[in-house]
Amino acid sequence: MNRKLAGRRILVVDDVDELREALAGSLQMFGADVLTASGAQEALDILESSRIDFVLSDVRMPRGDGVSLLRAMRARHSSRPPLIFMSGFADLSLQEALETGAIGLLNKPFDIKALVQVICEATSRG
Amino acid sequence: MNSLSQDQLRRLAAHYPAGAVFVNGDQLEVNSRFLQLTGYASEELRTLDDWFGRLFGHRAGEWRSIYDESKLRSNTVERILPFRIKNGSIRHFHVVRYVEPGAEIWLLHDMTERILDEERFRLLFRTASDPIFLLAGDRVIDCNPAALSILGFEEKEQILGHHPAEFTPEFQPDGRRTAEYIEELDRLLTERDHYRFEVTHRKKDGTEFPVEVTINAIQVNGVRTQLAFWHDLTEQKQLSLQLAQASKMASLGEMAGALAHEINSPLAVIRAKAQQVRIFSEMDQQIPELVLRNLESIEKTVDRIAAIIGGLRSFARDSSKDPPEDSEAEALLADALNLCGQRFKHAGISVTFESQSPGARIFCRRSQITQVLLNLLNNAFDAVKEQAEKWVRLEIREAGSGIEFRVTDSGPGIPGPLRPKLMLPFFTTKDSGKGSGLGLSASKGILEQHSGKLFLDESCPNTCFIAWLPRRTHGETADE
Repeated sequence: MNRKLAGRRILVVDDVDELREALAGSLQMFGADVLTASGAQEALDILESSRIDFVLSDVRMPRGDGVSLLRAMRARHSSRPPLIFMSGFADLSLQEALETGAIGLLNKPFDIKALVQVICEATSRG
Repeated sequence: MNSLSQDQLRRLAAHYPAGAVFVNGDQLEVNSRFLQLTGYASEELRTLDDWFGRLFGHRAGEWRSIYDESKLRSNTVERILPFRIKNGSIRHFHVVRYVEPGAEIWLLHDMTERILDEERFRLLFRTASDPIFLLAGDRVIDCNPAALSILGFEEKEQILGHHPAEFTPEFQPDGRRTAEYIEELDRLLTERDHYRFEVTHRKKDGTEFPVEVTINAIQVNGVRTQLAFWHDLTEQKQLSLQLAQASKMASLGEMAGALAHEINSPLAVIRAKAQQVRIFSEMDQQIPELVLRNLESIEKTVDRIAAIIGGLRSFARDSSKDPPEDSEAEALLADALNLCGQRFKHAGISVTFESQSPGARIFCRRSQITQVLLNLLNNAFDAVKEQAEKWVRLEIREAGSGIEFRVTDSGPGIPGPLRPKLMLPFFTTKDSGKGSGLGLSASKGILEQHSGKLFLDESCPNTCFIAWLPRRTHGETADE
């Protein structure tokens, strides 16, 4: 078993249940501990109560969008944990994502292996 | 008519409501109205010498001899003369000289305002930027320089005596026969004195242009005369079509964006699940080959759907202000093909692609160039869809300091006379309602903004359009 993400605790935020479940399943295969939330507020509650190493968040969600989640996170918890956006379609550009403080932008559908690579790099840095 | 006595003439002059002078040999009796109009006192205009000296200034001698000469003929004479009035200014009078044996009177009407009006009108007519035609019966009897220039003529004689309908194409853009349309308009014009309509006219060189015509019917000396004002609608039409097109694209873009958003999430689910199974299989050799092949096919199909949706990006927003980016020529063509490839396949049109410069890159607004290529592909589609032999050949070639996209189709080719008009706005050979006539002209505009060009390869026996773009130049690189 490839356990590249062993010991990492990842929060997946998306309003689509199946996608949350699929991404959680994939990341678990790489050994990650995965928590999920369907919107910004739920994600903030989890971040408040649990240690999270990395956040993967959708941009456009009915219950609090990804950009406001990131802003609220940065207001409370400084620069950690790192967050990457995933976007359905042209919600924002890579540059805009970087300007709001995300470490990157994934356009759906995306390659899980590429995501795993990004998480490894982002969580080993500090 | 009985002749008037001297006394009758004298009384007529005195009581005439406009200026009048009773002339008795060398002596003048100027009526009070004329004195009032010119500011002279009656003592100042007692004799012919006074008259010519005061009213004609340094040209007194010249006019006096003209008068003396006309005296030899005793018939009535009328003309318009400039008089210098007391305050030094010039006023124009219409002068009628009425002669009876032994005496004569002059009737003097101040025409200054009317002449000024006429001069103003003439100036307006001459300098108006909109064409103006004067018609009597149904023939042009006068027109202004703007009328000559819009129709592309040099001499008025080329227009005078003709009916404006002679400067029209056989058919109007809505498919109506121009002759029938004009007939209908003529009928309406016999009932009304004012009418406004739109019609497409044709220049001497064959170029067609839309015009709004305003006709005012007036009676001139009992003849029904029409003043036709033209207003060239080319720019306006172009603008409104562009606006309509832009708003169509904007709403299409919104829809495309919403749709893409909805589709991409489930695609991400399929992609993730398929990949999960594959990753799992990499650890477990028990999974049959068939399952693995199917998984690979699922992933490839998902990527293909995602690419099609990615192509919609070019419609999703106004791209004209996007910064240009470094793009691979082949990828641009692939974007366009992703959007229309299926259509070609369904219509049984074979599409071949060949690149003589693989990996060639250009610096451009990606979605705009995709749009140009899509336009050329769509034109090719329309040209070959009903042909027995249906193919479209796409080529990328190096040409000078740039890259050429060549789109060649098996269609019947474009007849020589139509070629110069291809890139003009509104020119279309497609059925009414099928083509806006803007595809090529808009594409040409986009390429020109990119310092490129769009042209027809006249040496090609089929129809071959070439979109040429300069290769990226120094100081403009995307990563700088």
